[in-house]
Amino acid sequence: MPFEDELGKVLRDTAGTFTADRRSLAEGSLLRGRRRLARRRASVMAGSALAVVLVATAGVQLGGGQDDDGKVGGLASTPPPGGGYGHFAVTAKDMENILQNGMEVSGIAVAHPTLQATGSSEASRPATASIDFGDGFSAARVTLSVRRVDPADEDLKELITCPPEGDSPYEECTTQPDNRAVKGYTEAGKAGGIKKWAVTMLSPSGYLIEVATNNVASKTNADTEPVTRNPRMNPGKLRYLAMFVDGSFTPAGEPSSLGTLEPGTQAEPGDFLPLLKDLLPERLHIYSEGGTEVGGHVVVSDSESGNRTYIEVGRIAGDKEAWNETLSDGTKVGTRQLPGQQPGVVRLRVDALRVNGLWISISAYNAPSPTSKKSGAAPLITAEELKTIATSRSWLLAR
Amino acid sequence: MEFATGRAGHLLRSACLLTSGDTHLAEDLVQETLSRMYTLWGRMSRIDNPAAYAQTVLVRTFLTHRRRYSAAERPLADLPDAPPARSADDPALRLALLQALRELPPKDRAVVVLRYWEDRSVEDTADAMNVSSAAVRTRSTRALAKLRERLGGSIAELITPA
Repeated sequence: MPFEDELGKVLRDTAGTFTADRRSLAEGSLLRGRRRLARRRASVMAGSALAVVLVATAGVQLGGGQDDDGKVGGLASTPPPGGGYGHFAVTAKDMENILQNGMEVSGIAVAHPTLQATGSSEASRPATASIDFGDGFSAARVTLSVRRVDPADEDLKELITCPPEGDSPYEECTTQPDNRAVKGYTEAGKAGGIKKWAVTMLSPSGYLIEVATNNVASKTNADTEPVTRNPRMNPGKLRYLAMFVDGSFTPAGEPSSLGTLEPGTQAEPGDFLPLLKDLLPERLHIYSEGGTEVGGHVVVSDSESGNRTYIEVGRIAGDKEAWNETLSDGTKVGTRQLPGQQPGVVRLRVDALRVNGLWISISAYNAPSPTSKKSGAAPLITAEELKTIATSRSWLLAR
Repeated sequence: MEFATGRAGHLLRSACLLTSGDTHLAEDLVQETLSRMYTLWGRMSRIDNPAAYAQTVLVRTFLTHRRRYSAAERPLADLPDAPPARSADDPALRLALLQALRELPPKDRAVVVLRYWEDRSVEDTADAMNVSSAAVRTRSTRALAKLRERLGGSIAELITPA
């Protein structure tokens, strides 16, 4: 095969591994587009001076502005039941778990995390957490600060509303929509300098939350050179993280169960793992499990022999077409037996390509992981059973 | 909104290849591309193929971004924490491709993505990049030679039927 053809195939294989939250990408794009259009129209109408006024006005309207009572962003100022906004009790461990879980649900790749946190038992003292991690390119740091406040406090408005564009110390600043006053801003550094991106959020439950990151490597001081021009984590993800943190606290001033779960004890978002577990033959005992947004795996064990089999399933965008049969509904099915990495390890692989383009691939290894030594002569599940799973219509419902 | 939602996935995959796997930058490029398409929406009926046009906008946005910010970027020589190569369809081998793409100049990378991922002709590629067909051929030849040298035998492993 010519090198160019090989390259095309590899590019398609590799590109297929990148997945997107298309809806949030589209929504973010439209927001940018509207702002761009507003800026353009404003400048056409009356020159740059008027443009500043209009964009600033639009920003306030997006954020809800002030109502007749002077409340910001339509926030309710009704105090919560119990001790009002004076009660705050969160431990350092809770803060670590909230930040780590928030990073997971925000879709931020985290490798080798190091966490530090402080708790708080006084409303006036913020609870903090920070995480140093590898993001696949370099070291990165995200910090979190949570303080208990009365959302009706007039003094807080300044923190969550962008100043007029002309006087703004920020390179970018947007007063964001939602029934929460959310501010995302870029603190301008010198050209090629250190930048901080942060989202400051005043929640209706009475918390002032700030999450931030910058474009320097972690565990360093302010003298560090920037790694990139901008922080790698975009403001949208920071905002999502801030909203998760808000959901991790109760109106009474204590952490809820959402964020304080031990990280890693729950499957990550996505339907693949639950669907796989649902479709497995009942005789198989699940020993361990894991999942991502585009796939899931289980390790099943045989109680008598103790042998274990690793079964993984995922949606792929492959082009290595090798089909053995076509079902009556047009689904193409390919069943193959391949050698594993370790001696004696067998990989049973079944692919199913539906007419709508959904390509499900499921594999089983007679080993507890694809790279482990063999555990038993053959996988605990047959190729026919894998085919039944791969061709299930349930996958059409998977996100 | 439908157009944006429908194209976002494909655009992101292109952007990930253009940025050699920098997903954060890729998301920004896609948002920038779709926001520009939004501002053009009133004139969209005059565009023959909006999807292809969006791809062109993406590539131009990428090249503009590289031109504007390349002085401040400090790409790392190696991907940190890359696991050792394992089986034929192991992610580490795909990382090798992304690493090889990263070592190409941005315009060469754009040529590779347009020609071999988008399957565009030399003329279409030249049009999308605002350069001559001859320049595309030159860049394409140079990029392929570099990739062949960099990937060597591993490209065969990447496409070995798993």
